[in-house]
Amino acid sequence: MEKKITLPRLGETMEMGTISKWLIKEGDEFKRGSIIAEIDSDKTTVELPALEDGKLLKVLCNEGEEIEVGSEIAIFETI
Amino acid sequence: MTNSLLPQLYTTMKRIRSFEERVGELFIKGESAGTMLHLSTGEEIGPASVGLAMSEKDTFTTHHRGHGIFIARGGDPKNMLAEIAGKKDGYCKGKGGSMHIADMKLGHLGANAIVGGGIPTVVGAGISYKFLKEKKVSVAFFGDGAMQQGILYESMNMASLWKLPVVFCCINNQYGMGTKIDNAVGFKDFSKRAESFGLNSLHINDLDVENAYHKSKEIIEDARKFKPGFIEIECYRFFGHARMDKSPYRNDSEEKEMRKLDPINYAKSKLIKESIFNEEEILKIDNEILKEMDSAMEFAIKSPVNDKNEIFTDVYSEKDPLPESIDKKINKILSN
Amino acid sequence: MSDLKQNYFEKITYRDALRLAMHDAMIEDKKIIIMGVDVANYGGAYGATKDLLKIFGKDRVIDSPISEPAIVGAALGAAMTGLRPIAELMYIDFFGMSMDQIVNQLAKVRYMFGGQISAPLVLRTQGGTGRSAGAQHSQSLESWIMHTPGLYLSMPSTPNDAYHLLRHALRIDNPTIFIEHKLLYNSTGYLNKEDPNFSFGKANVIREGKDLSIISYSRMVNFAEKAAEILNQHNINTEIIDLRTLKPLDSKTIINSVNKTKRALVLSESNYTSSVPSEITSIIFEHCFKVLKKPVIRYTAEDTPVPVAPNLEKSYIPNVEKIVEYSKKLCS
Repeated sequence: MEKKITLPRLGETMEMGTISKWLIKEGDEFKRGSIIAEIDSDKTTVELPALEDGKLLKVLCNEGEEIEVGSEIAIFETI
Repeated sequence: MTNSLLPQLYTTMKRIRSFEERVGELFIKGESAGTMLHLSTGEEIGPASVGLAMSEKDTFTTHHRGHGIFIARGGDPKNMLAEIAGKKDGYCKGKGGSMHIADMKLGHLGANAIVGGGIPTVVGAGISYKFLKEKKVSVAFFGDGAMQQGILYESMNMASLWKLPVVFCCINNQYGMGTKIDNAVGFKDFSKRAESFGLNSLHINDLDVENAYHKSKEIIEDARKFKPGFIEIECYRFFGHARMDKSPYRNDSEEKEMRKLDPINYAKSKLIKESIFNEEEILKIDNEILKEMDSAMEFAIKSPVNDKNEIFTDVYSEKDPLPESIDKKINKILSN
Repeated sequence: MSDLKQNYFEKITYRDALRLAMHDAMIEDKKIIIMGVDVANYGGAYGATKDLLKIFGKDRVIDSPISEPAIVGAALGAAMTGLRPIAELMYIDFFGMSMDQIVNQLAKVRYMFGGQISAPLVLRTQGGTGRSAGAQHSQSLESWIMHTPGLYLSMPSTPNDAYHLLRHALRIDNPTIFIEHKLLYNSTGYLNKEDPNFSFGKANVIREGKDLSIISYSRMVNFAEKAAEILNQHNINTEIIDLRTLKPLDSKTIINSVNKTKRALVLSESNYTSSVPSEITSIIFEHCFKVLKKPVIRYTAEDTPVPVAPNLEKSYIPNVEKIVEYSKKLCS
């Protein structure tokens, strides 16, 4: 099943964020709990864990691009 | 069948790890009450070993990174996560959150957000237990940061002076928020400090949770006989100070190497090496734990928020009138 | 203490009334212990716990090391686990050392832990000027406590009130901060252990009057009484309210009084700014503004630290002459 990952609100005051680093690339499989990206909020950089097992299909947001909280950042397939 | 406590210790550590992952997921999903969530991921050896070494009626206080200890002492993940989510079904009705979680029935005298704040509480508990002739021990859990708080030394002195059944347990994860202990500590021998106060000291610096359990048990039982103790357990904080923050003040290679020193993997290897469990059996345990924690997370998310009237309860005792709301006060004045 | 079993005293010191309260409470409730610096062998810096060690033993009257934060913190821990401790901080000025345990812990454990626990701790201390004890041993810091939800606050001015308020504090499940005054220890008055009129949380109207309300507490109540005598000679009929407890505060008695007299002077030994009188003045304004003939006057100590020199210390706090002067102006 295809699912989307959105940019989470990582702090009460966060409106915008940036993916500072993707730790997986399209085609990679990942396990729930593994860190798949690093996200810059207004205050800190947070390691983003996967919320379920999956295979990354498409990256929708590039490293360094500032986007709104809630925007889609990737599409994956559940495995 | 085995007499080894390793299965139990492994399970506890794995439950702590899994629980903390759920806390992280609650955060990512926007379901936590605020974001001041301090995960004990990587630090499971202390809570699991000392937690098991304590007796059923022993009590404790924790610092802000105390979820693991509470799990080890029997905290129900459902009510813990509900508390962390600020909900009605939380241990503290959602009014305490992660940093002020407590359960008097399990002997959890409270998590504290003030570094060192919960340490003298166990001294007082020790005074009570000695006075009332209850054969209980009270343990204060805190981090390396608290080793520089004066209240710890006041408390150690009192425990030593009055020969109280208390243990001071330092979970040294090498960092006080963003400050490495090298930058906070003039002379890095915590056990020596405790010894100089006349306390029975223990320093653990390896990954063997069974060893930590056996040695801690001695300290706890000595405390029960009115020889107060001090335990330092060295470990590493896998994530940042809070949430899954990165730690820019930490060396990348240090972090990478230290994250490999995982007490859970060590315990797992030991279980297999000692033919206690095989891979399949361990996987089964892991999956049970995952199910348990997932259902606890679901419970927390589904738990309702508390009524606004709860703002006013528990300020004073049940027999006392609730504080008057500001709205009521103002409207009374405006109608004068 | 030969008169331990007596129920009525014509004349007893404030100090002995406190001692008697602790003694009687400790006989009745075996879970009460006392801990603090020099409470046992020395008998308390101001003698309030004298001889209690002899009567109750070292398990119940405990000399503590000089560790104010841990004294409060340990007493709190004991209160959470079955005992009813009286913790003594020798001077209220030492509250600074213990504020975390008082404000962040003691006042909040019931609330933060969702009502799971009570912390029946009585924290006794004393404050006030009059002994040239200097800036760090003479303060009146009650506003720090009044501002903190979760704490009760008692400040008796008479031996009878001291006895009953302390006994009450030792029976309830709320933490109480009990602030004595260093110059009141030797003051005398009656004590009726079975006082039927004593009511916790109610202010005491110690003098009825129709022209002016003077609202005060602790040692300043005596100053108000002296001023009222003088004002009487000027045909000014003063009503004096002794608050006795600042938490819970008996606003009703204050408001009723000022609605009657239409003029108010609030008197205390604390500093002026953001003080207990500031709070009371607000309450009076909010509820009596329609009837007030003059602004409410707060008469307090100067907004300065306390000087040591006796003449300066005396001028630093309110005096009877000025109370009379301001009262006359309020009534002109």
